[in-house]
Amino acid sequence: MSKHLAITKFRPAKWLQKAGYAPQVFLFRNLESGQVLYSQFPNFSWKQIDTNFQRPNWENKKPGTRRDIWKCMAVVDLPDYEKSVQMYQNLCRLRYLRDVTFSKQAKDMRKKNEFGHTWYSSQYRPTYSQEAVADLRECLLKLKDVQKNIKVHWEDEWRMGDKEKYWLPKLPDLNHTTLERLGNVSREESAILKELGEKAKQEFAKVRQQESVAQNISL
Amino acid sequence: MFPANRGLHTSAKALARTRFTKPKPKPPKRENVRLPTQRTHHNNDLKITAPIPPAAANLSCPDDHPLWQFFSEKKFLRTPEELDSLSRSWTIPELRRKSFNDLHSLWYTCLKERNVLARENHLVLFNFQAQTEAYENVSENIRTTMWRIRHVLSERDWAFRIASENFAKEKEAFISSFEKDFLEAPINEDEEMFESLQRFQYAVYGISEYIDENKVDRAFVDGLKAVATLKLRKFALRNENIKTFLEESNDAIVDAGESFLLYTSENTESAVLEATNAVRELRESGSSVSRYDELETVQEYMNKLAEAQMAKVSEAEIQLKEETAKNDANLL
Repeated sequence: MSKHLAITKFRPAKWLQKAGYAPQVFLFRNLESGQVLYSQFPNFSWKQIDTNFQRPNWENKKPGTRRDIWKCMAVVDLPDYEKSVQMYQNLCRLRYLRDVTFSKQAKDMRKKNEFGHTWYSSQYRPTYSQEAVADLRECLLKLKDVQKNIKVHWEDEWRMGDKEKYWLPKLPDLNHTTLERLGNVSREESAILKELGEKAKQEFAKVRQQESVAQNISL
Repeated sequence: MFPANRGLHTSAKALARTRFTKPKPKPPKRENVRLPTQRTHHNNDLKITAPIPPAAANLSCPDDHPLWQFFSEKKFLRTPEELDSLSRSWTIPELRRKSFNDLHSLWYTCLKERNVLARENHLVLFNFQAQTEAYENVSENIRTTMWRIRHVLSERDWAFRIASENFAKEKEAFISSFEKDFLEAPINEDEEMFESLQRFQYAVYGISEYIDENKVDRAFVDGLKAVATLKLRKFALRNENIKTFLEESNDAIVDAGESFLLYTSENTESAVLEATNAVRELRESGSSVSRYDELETVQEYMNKLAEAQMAKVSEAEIQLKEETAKNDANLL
């Protein structure tokens, strides 16, 4: 039996619903290195780190599970559990493409320092979180049809990039909000995410109820 | 003994049909088949795109953000020409003419300006590696103003201390001369004399005319007794009843409760007479305040007085409102 209590498996839609999770995808950012981790749950374990960092090198080291230096960067509320699972799969796939399949192209798009390495200051490489935002946008473009029912909670409006350039032209109806800043410290983060999850679940239940009512209407 | 159809051990295999076997019938179609639990898959047309840099344009800062106090007119950096380099510090004679509140606000204005300058100085020095002399000069001028403010305040403090020390020596003489003036003043000067009594009690015993400003301590209670006695002596010259009461109480009020009653009575002959009658009743009923409980008891009295005044004020407000409502109704 694993000594870890966190979930160390990929979980399908039915399981998530049954276990009481909300249809959400979570992005966590490493404060030290700027790397970003995708998770189906409001928490993460070494399993997610293994799936998200498959080709570690000196520039992209495999990060540890220290919870105090991982901070929630964004939470995406999706209309149903299938979409949340697919979004997670897309994000992981994009990470794989960046790290493995198209690593050369991905590197070409990064800002470089004078020696041709990915720009960094000490351990910190800002490009990783910027790439995560780009990947998130790519995944949301695949769900363009249901963008009205999708809500992205950003840690900071600053993080989402230029609204006019990246978000409004292609995803005009997507909902953006900001996570509550007050009291959002590493100790309280889980409580904030839990509250967000509860709200998303209520929203999901409300929509299902409306749908069932609509179906029962006889003309 | 043996059954007739028994064969050799190889005959079953030899007889087995290996070719052109009749196919098994297909299993019946199952109802209610469970679908696989995981049916989604990542899209196959995903593309990696250029990183999206964060945008400061998304952020907005409120105009009343407290950190704006570290900026001069919301400018990131003032040029040395924009600085007020022609001004001078406040001089000590100028500051001596200012009240404490003025000095207090001037101090904080200076402090804020020095904070702004320190920020700009740091920025110029470490980020632009440029000359910071202009910023330092202005800051130095302000620093001079600030030590001068402190100097003036300390002068005042010393003046007050020395004056209170000297006054302690002359206190007795001052009190007796005031009592003489107070008692000898004619009836038509009553109003002025009681106003000067208010100033006197504030100066000598620290008894303020505003109830909530007072702190009940030994000096306060002693002051109450002295003022009550003085009041009695003033009216004893005019009224025989009060005079006999004063003689009964050996020319001084020593009980805190009695002195409070007399102190709070109005400054008229009839009111003081009424108060003396009340004190007499108190004495007859044998209730007096022990010297050990004086402070607590007087504090209680003060609280009650404050409450009564608040109630009066709110009643008056209600009355005023009713009257205005009536007037409005009449007008309509």
